[in-house]
Amino acid sequence: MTTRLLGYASLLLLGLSALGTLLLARPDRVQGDAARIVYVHVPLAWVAFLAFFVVFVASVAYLRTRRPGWDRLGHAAAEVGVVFTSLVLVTGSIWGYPIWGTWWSWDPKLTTTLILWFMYLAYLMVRAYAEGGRGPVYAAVVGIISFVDVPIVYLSSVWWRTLHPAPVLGPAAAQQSTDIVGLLLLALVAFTVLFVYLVRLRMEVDMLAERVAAAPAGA
Amino acid sequence: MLDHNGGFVLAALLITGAVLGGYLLYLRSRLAGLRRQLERGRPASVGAEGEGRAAGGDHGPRGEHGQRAQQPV
Repeated sequence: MTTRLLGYASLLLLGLSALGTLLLARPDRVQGDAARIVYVHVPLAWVAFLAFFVVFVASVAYLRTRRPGWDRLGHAAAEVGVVFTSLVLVTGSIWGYPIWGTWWSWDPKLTTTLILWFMYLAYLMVRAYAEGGRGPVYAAVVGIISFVDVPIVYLSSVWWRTLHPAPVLGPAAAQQSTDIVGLLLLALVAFTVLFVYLVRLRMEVDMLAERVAAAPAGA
Repeated sequence: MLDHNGGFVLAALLITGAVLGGYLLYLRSRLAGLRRQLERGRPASVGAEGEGRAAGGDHGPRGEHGQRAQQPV
Protein backbone atom coordinates (compact mmCIF):
# COMPACT_ATOMS: atom_id res chain seq x y z
CA MET A 1 0.00 0.00 0.00
CA THR A 2 2.76 2.43 1.01
CA THR A 3 4.73 1.42 -2.07
CA ARG A 4 1.75 2.14 -4.31
CA LEU A 5 1.22 5.54 -2.65
CA LEU A 6 4.88 6.36 -3.22
CA GLY A 7 4.42 5.45 -6.88
CA TYR A 8 1.47 7.80 -7.32
CA ALA A 9 3.22 10.56 -5.36
CA SER A 10 6.36 10.31 -7.47
CA LEU A 11 4.31 10.36 -10.69
CA LEU A 12 2.44 13.48 -9.57
CA LEU A 13 5.57 15.27 -8.35
CA LEU A 14 7.60 14.37 -11.45
CA GLY A 15 4.76 15.59 -13.67
CA LEU A 16 4.63 18.91 -11.81
CA SER A 17 8.40 19.19 -11.96
CA ALA A 18 8.45 18.56 -15.74
CA LEU A 19 5.72 21.17 -16.26
CA GLY A 20 7.64 23.64 -14.11
CA THR A 21 10.82 22.95 -16.08
CA LEU A 22 9.11 23.59 -19.41
CA LEU A 23 6.65 26.35 -18.50
CA LEU A 24 7.83 28.21 -15.38
CA ALA A 25 11.63 28.09 -15.43
CA ARG A 26 13.25 31.17 -16.92
CA PRO A 27 15.97 30.76 -19.54
CA ASP A 28 19.49 31.55 -18.36
CA ARG A 29 21.05 34.84 -19.53
CA VAL A 30 24.08 33.04 -21.00
CA GLN A 31 22.92 29.49 -21.71
CA GLY A 32 19.37 30.22 -22.81
CA ASP A 33 16.91 27.34 -22.53
CA ALA A 34 19.67 24.71 -22.29
CA ALA A 35 19.99 25.69 -18.62
CA ARG A 36 16.57 24.12 -17.95
CA ILE A 37 18.34 20.76 -17.97
CA VAL A 38 19.56 21.70 -14.48
CA TYR A 39 16.13 20.64 -13.14
CA VAL A 40 16.73 17.08 -14.33
CA HIS A 41 20.51 16.69 -14.20
CA VAL A 42 21.12 17.99 -10.65
CA PRO A 43 18.29 16.05 -8.93
CA LEU A 44 19.43 12.88 -10.70
CA ALA A 45 22.96 13.44 -9.39
CA TRP A 46 21.63 14.14 -5.89
CA VAL A 47 19.63 10.92 -5.87
CA ALA A 48 22.62 8.95 -7.18
CA PHE A 49 24.72 10.29 -4.27
CA LEU A 50 21.90 9.46 -1.86
CA ALA A 51 21.68 5.94 -3.31
CA PHE A 52 25.40 5.35 -2.82
CA PHE A 53 25.21 6.69 0.74
CA VAL A 54 22.46 4.13 1.40
CA VAL A 55 24.70 1.43 -0.13
CA PHE A 56 27.52 2.52 2.18
CA VAL A 57 25.35 2.40 5.31
CA ALA A 58 23.74 -0.90 4.31
CA SER A 59 27.14 -2.42 3.50
CA VAL A 60 28.58 -1.47 6.90
CA ALA A 61 25.46 -2.79 8.63
CA TYR A 62 25.54 -6.03 6.62
CA LEU A 63 29.19 -6.72 7.44
CA ARG A 64 28.45 -6.14 11.15
CA THR A 65 25.18 -8.07 11.43
CA ARG A 66 25.06 -10.38 8.35
CA ARG A 67 21.33 -9.81 8.18
CA PRO A 68 20.04 -10.39 4.61
CA GLY A 69 17.78 -7.33 4.84
CA TRP A 70 20.81 -5.02 4.79
CA ASP A 71 22.20 -6.83 1.77
CA ARG A 72 18.87 -6.46 -0.04
CA LEU A 73 18.77 -2.74 0.77
CA GLY A 74 22.35 -2.23 -0.44
CA HIS A 75 21.71 -4.20 -3.61
CA ALA A 76 18.49 -2.31 -4.40
CA ALA A 77 20.06 1.09 -3.74
CA ALA A 78 23.13 0.22 -5.84
CA GLU A 79 21.05 -0.86 -8.83
CA VAL A 80 18.83 2.23 -8.68
CA GLY A 81 21.94 4.37 -8.14
CA VAL A 82 23.55 2.95 -11.27
CA VAL A 83 20.41 3.74 -13.29
CA PHE A 84 20.42 7.32 -11.97
CA THR A 85 24.16 7.75 -12.54
CA SER A 86 23.73 6.55 -16.13
CA LEU A 87 21.11 9.27 -16.57
CA VAL A 88 23.39 11.85 -14.94
CA LEU A 89 26.05 11.03 -17.55
CA VAL A 90 23.55 11.11 -20.43
CA THR A 91 21.78 14.34 -19.42
CA GLY A 92 25.14 15.97 -18.66
CA SER A 93 26.32 15.04 -22.12
CA ILE A 94 23.14 16.45 -23.68
CA TRP A 95 23.65 19.67 -21.71
CA GLY A 96 27.35 19.83 -22.53
CA TYR A 97 26.97 19.70 -26.30
CA PRO A 98 25.20 23.04 -26.84
CA ILE A 99 27.24 24.80 -24.13
CA TRP A 100 30.74 23.30 -24.47
CA GLY A 101 30.47 22.19 -28.07
CA THR A 102 31.27 18.57 -27.21
CA TRP A 103 29.34 15.58 -25.93
CA TRP A 104 32.18 14.44 -23.67
CA SER A 105 35.36 15.82 -22.16
CA TRP A 106 37.86 14.12 -19.85
CA ASP A 107 37.16 16.78 -17.31
CA PRO A 108 37.66 15.90 -13.60
CA LYS A 109 33.94 16.03 -12.79
CA LEU A 110 32.91 13.89 -15.74
CA THR A 111 35.77 11.46 -15.33
CA THR A 112 35.20 10.90 -11.60
CA THR A 113 31.48 10.42 -12.28
CA LEU A 114 32.27 7.81 -14.91
CA ILE A 115 34.57 6.07 -12.41
CA LEU A 116 31.73 6.16 -9.85
CA TRP A 117 29.44 4.47 -12.39
CA PHE A 118 32.00 1.73 -13.05
CA MET A 119 32.54 1.18 -9.31
CA TYR A 120 28.88 0.50 -8.60
CA LEU A 121 28.61 -1.59 -11.73
CA ALA A 122 31.45 -3.61 -10.17
CA TYR A 123 29.40 -3.86 -6.95
CA LEU A 124 26.49 -5.38 -8.89
CA MET A 125 28.74 -7.76 -10.81
CA VAL A 126 30.63 -8.92 -7.72
CA ARG A 127 27.36 -9.55 -5.91
CA ALA A 128 25.92 -11.48 -8.85
CA TYR A 129 28.91 -13.56 -9.86
CA ALA A 130 31.03 -14.24 -6.74
CA GLU A 131 31.05 -17.96 -6.04
CA GLY A 132 30.28 -19.84 -2.86
CA GLY A 133 27.61 -17.44 -1.60
CA ARG A 134 30.24 -14.80 -0.82
CA GLY A 135 28.72 -12.24 -3.21
CA PRO A 136 26.98 -10.09 -0.57
CA VAL A 137 30.13 -9.91 1.58
CA TYR A 138 32.42 -8.97 -1.30
CA ALA A 139 29.82 -6.53 -2.64
CA ALA A 140 29.52 -4.87 0.79
CA VAL A 141 33.29 -4.31 0.79
CA VAL A 142 33.09 -2.80 -2.72
CA GLY A 143 30.12 -0.69 -1.56
CA ILE A 144 32.16 0.80 1.28
CA ILE A 145 35.30 1.45 -0.78
CA SER A 146 33.35 2.93 -3.70
CA PHE A 147 31.70 5.55 -1.52
CA VAL A 148 35.07 7.31 -1.27
CA ASP A 149 34.47 8.54 -4.83
CA VAL A 150 31.21 10.36 -3.96
CA PRO A 151 32.78 13.36 -2.17
CA ILE A 152 35.52 13.41 -4.83
CA VAL A 153 32.86 13.78 -7.55
CA TYR A 154 31.05 16.45 -5.55
CA LEU A 155 34.16 18.52 -4.83
CA SER A 156 36.02 17.90 -8.09
CA SER A 157 34.82 21.16 -9.60
CA VAL A 158 36.06 23.01 -6.51
CA TRP A 159 39.43 21.22 -6.24
CA TRP A 160 40.41 21.20 -9.91
CA ARG A 161 40.10 23.52 -12.87
CA THR A 162 37.15 22.16 -14.75
CA LEU A 163 34.63 22.94 -17.47
CA HIS A 164 31.85 21.88 -15.14
CA PRO A 165 30.21 24.59 -13.02
CA ALA A 166 30.46 24.56 -9.21
CA PRO A 167 27.88 22.52 -7.26
CA VAL A 168 24.42 24.09 -7.00
CA LEU A 169 23.46 22.13 -3.88
CA GLY A 170 25.11 21.36 -0.56
CA PRO A 171 27.91 23.00 1.43
CA ALA A 172 30.09 23.80 -1.61
CA ALA A 173 27.22 25.35 -3.57
CA ALA A 174 27.38 28.76 -5.13
CA GLN A 175 24.54 31.04 -4.04
CA GLN A 176 21.45 30.64 -6.20
CA SER A 177 18.68 33.02 -7.09
CA THR A 178 15.37 32.16 -5.44
CA ASP A 179 13.51 31.35 -8.68
CA ILE A 180 15.83 28.42 -9.48
CA VAL A 181 15.79 27.12 -5.89
CA GLY A 182 12.01 26.58 -5.73
CA LEU A 183 11.80 24.46 -8.86
CA LEU A 184 15.01 22.67 -8.03
CA LEU A 185 13.66 21.68 -4.62
CA LEU A 186 10.45 20.38 -6.22
CA ALA A 187 12.47 18.27 -8.66
CA LEU A 188 14.70 17.09 -5.82
CA VAL A 189 11.74 15.93 -3.75
CA ALA A 190 10.13 14.29 -6.81
CA PHE A 191 13.22 12.27 -7.71
CA THR A 192 13.87 11.36 -4.06
CA VAL A 193 10.33 9.97 -3.69
CA LEU A 194 10.84 8.05 -6.94
CA PHE A 195 14.12 6.67 -5.57
CA VAL A 196 12.43 5.39 -2.40
CA TYR A 197 9.65 3.84 -4.52
CA LEU A 198 12.11 2.07 -6.86
CA VAL A 199 14.24 0.79 -3.97
CA ARG A 200 11.17 -0.68 -2.27
CA LEU A 201 10.10 -2.37 -5.50
CA ARG A 202 13.61 -3.73 -6.06
CA MET A 203 13.77 -5.10 -2.52
CA GLU A 204 10.39 -6.74 -3.03
CA VAL A 205 11.74 -8.44 -6.16
CA ASP A 206 14.71 -9.81 -4.17
CA MET A 207 12.46 -11.03 -1.35
CA LEU A 208 10.07 -12.79 -3.72
CA ALA A 209 12.97 -14.33 -5.67
CA GLU A 210 14.30 -15.77 -2.40
CA ARG A 211 10.87 -17.19 -1.55
CA VAL A 212 10.54 -18.73 -5.02
CA ALA A 213 14.02 -20.24 -4.74
CA ALA A 214 13.19 -21.68 -1.34
CA ALA A 215 9.78 -23.04 -2.31
CA PRO A 216 9.71 -26.84 -2.56
CA ALA A 217 9.38 -28.08 -6.11
CA GLY A 218 5.86 -29.06 -7.08
CA ALA A 219 4.45 -27.72 -3.81
CA MET B 1 8.43 28.87 -26.42
CA LEU B 2 11.82 27.20 -26.17
CA ASP B 3 14.80 28.62 -28.06
CA HIS B 4 17.11 26.74 -30.46
CA ASN B 5 18.42 24.64 -27.54
CA GLY B 6 14.92 23.48 -26.66
CA GLY B 7 15.50 20.19 -28.45
CA PHE B 8 18.25 19.35 -25.98
CA VAL B 9 15.96 20.06 -23.03
CA LEU B 10 13.20 17.90 -24.50
CA ALA B 11 15.70 15.13 -25.30
CA ALA B 12 16.99 15.16 -21.70
CA LEU B 13 13.45 14.99 -20.31
CA LEU B 14 12.30 12.29 -22.73
CA ILE B 15 15.36 10.06 -22.27
CA THR B 16 15.09 10.38 -18.48
CA GLY B 17 11.39 9.51 -18.60
CA ALA B 18 11.94 6.60 -20.98
CA VAL B 19 14.80 5.07 -18.98
CA LEU B 20 13.08 5.43 -15.60
CA GLY B 21 9.76 4.25 -17.04
CA GLY B 22 11.49 1.28 -18.66
CA TYR B 23 13.23 0.36 -15.41
CA LEU B 24 9.93 0.61 -13.53
CA LEU B 25 8.22 -1.65 -16.08
CA TYR B 26 11.09 -4.14 -15.78
CA LEU B 27 10.73 -4.28 -11.99
CA ARG B 28 6.95 -4.62 -12.16
CA SER B 29 7.12 -7.37 -14.74
CA ARG B 30 9.65 -9.30 -12.63
CA LEU B 31 7.43 -8.88 -9.60
CA ALA B 32 4.42 -10.14 -11.55
CA GLY B 33 6.42 -13.12 -12.84
CA LEU B 34 7.67 -14.05 -9.37
CA ARG B 35 4.16 -13.74 -7.89
CA ARG B 36 2.84 -16.05 -10.60
CA GLN B 37 5.57 -18.57 -9.80
CA LEU B 38 4.75 -18.42 -6.10
CA GLU B 39 1.07 -18.95 -6.82
CA ARG B 40 1.90 -21.96 -8.97
CA GLY B 41 4.33 -23.13 -6.31
CA ARG B 42 6.91 -24.19 -8.86
CA PRO B 43 10.22 -22.42 -9.08
CA ALA B 44 10.61 -23.53 -12.68
CA SER B 45 12.48 -20.55 -14.06
CA VAL B 46 14.23 -19.11 -11.05
CA GLY B 47 17.51 -19.30 -12.97
CA ALA B 48 16.13 -16.99 -15.61
CA GLU B 49 15.17 -14.52 -12.93
CA GLY B 50 18.79 -14.33 -11.90
CA GLU B 51 18.00 -13.70 -8.27
CA GLY B 52 17.32 -17.11 -6.90
CA ARG B 53 18.39 -17.10 -3.33
CA ALA B 54 17.39 -19.49 -0.67
CA ALA B 55 15.31 -17.77 1.96
CA GLY B 56 16.74 -17.90 5.42
CA GLY B 57 20.28 -17.89 4.06
CA ASP B 58 21.78 -15.86 6.84
CA HIS B 59 25.01 -15.44 5.01
CA GLY B 60 23.74 -14.31 1.67
CA PRO B 61 22.69 -16.00 -1.47
CA ARG B 62 23.24 -19.67 -2.06
CA GLY B 63 23.66 -20.06 -5.74
CA GLU B 64 23.27 -16.60 -7.13
CA HIS B 65 21.14 -17.72 -10.02
CA GLY B 66 19.03 -20.06 -8.06
CA GLN B 67 20.19 -23.18 -9.86
CA ARG B 68 20.49 -25.06 -6.61
CA ALA B 69 16.87 -24.40 -5.84
CA GLN B 70 15.67 -25.77 -9.11
CA GLN B 71 14.25 -29.21 -9.07
CA PRO B 72 13.07 -31.37 -11.90
CA VAL B 73 9.35 -30.85 -12.31
